Amino acid sequence: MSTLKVNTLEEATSGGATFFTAKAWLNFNGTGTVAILADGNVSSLTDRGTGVYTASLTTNTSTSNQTVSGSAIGAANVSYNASGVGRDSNVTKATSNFGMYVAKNNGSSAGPEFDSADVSVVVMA
Amino acid sequence: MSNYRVIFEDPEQPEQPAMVLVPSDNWLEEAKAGLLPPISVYWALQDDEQQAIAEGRHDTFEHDPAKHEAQWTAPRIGPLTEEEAIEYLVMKDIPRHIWSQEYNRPMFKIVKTEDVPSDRSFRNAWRIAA
Repeated sequence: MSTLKVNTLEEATSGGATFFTAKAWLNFNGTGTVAILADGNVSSLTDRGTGVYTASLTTNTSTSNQTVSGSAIGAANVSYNASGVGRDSNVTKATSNFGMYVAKNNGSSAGPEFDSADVSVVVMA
Repeated sequence: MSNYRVIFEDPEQPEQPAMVLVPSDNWLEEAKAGLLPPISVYWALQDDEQQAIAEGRHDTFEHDPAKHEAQWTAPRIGPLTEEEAIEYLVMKDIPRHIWSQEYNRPMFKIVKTEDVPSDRSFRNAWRIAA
């Protein structure tokens, strides 16, 4: 395996935009015995209770000001048939990990946290 | 998939249910292949960040470049068995006060994956059994 090391990736066209790459990504099943389905740069996932998790990174980011974005398959519930992934404010921001919660959503407001069978998260920093 | 999970509680958050750490298979492969840096590299990064928090400059914090680059440049520690890798992971991903101090009962246990309940009823009431 070879490794390509560069500081900046830019479009070839004049004045092209800089490409930003994800620092980590994670897909997991939060039901039953929680299991990581696929990941990049994740060393572990901690199940902290219903719908709340912390993912730890193999290689820390340089800053704790990460952007964390995610999605989750919703619950079979008439009132809350959508879902969302949020950054958990109960977990202090850190370069080594990030906390997240998975909540039901009815399109206008967040419902209770729940265990989704398919949660995906990506981290930029 | 790893044969192990780590169950732990945080004595600083007594209302928090027992937590279950799931190792990444990709990370475990790196550990077995001998690609990990010494654990002290991660502890130096933790200390770097804790100092920034204590000094009130965490909002704009960036790691000391030398400490950050040590993740790639430090000599590798060599291949680990799965059991050794899980012990390394405890020291890397579980807060230090949980495993480095003695309490009047165990605050973490390394268990077989099949010993973790798959029934998540009352999940927020889980505790480590005595």
